[in-house]
Amino acid sequence: MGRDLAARIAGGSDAALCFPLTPLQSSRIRSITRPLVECLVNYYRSRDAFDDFRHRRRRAS
Amino acid sequence: MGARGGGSATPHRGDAARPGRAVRTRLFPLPFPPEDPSPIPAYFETFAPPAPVTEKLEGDRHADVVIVGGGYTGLSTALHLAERGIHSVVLEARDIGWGESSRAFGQVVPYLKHSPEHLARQLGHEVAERLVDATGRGPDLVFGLIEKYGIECSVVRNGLIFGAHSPAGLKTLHARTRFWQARGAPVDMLDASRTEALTGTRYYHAASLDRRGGTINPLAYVRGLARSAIERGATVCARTPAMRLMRAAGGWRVEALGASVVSPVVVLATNAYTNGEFWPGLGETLIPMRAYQLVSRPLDEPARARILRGGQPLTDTRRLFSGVRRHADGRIHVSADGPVFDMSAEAHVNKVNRRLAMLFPGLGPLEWEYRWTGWVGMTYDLNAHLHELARQ
Repeated sequence: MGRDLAARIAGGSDAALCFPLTPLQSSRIRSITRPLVECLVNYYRSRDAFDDFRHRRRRAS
Repeated sequence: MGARGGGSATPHRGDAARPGRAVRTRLFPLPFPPEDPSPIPAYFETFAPPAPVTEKLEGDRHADVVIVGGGYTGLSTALHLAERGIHSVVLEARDIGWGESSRAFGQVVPYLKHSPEHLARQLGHEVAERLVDATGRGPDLVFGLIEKYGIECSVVRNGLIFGAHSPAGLKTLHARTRFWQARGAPVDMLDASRTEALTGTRYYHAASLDRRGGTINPLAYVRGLARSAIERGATVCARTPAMRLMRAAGGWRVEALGASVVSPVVVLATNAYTNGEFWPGLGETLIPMRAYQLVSRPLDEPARARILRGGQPLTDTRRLFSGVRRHADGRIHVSADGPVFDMSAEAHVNKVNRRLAMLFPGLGPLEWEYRWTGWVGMTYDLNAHLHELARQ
């Protein structure tokens, strides 16, 4: 990122940036981000735990 | 922006600043970086050169570029600008690398969060190709800078190991390996016995080894970037929080601690530690989330000889927090799970111990000698973003 920013500041084109420029936008779900993210993280925790359980069963069988 | 802490609703400052608007309360306030009770990781400090001496910002000065944020992005920008003969002033609110840059797990990886296919759907094929290609060469850039500037940061470039923790994970690794092999990258699949030989665990039926990546001491690296930028002519001011940004003759004025810098270009490189009031709306593009790291006491010799003896860090295809690395002094370092938004919380240590017991039976519960946390700046689409906030 630093190399690209320096090149752009030095007069390089936007097309050469490896990260495209995107408009600044606030998400419409900003107000419920916290509970949403916590639910998602809990879901991922459950999936990982379930994968570990299945792994142990496969090993046992 | 928003409210500090969690739980109770407080007025939204942004709204209160706009005349004529009623103050809204936030039902689910997000935390307010850049506060962080956790200091720079003491473990990394042990092996890092001291921070370079930085300047004190005084009076009103001019620069070609002002950079707000003394982490990887800000300092790398300053260094690359200096290589081009462009003078920048870097304003860092705390000590160099105080934010995410010093608190990371320390892997240098050639990937983004999303697969190349996903990025192509999101960004279009051409942009995705450029991004994936640049990211794939990322470790070369980092290790190249380290070598060019003689940055001492405990480099180990033996590759990265990704374990397949499930059949779906194995499919993902096969696809990723094929993708990178088709591009000539040194990525290979390992069977169970080769995986065990390198990692000391029989947990995985297979893994991939990506020789492009490696590990560093992230604090030493960011300090090295600062030193190198200063030696090439950049001005770096630590403990100099940028307080206000406004248009001025000549471009922009950034005010900090009673002094100011005017320049035609300003780079805001504060990531998760973005003060949402500095530029309206910028903080709202980020979701600051807590990340946790643990480092154990040194292992005994038999365990050292067995665990991660190839020097590669081990992560796997699970969804959350799987990183394990072994430092040269025989300590185990893990990236851990913990409460997502609570600044004062601890990592889920029992979960870490259970996972390590699964990976390395007979290891026994470890004593965690070093612990630290920090904010990670997630975005809504899990991609890094570059915004042009204003033009002259």
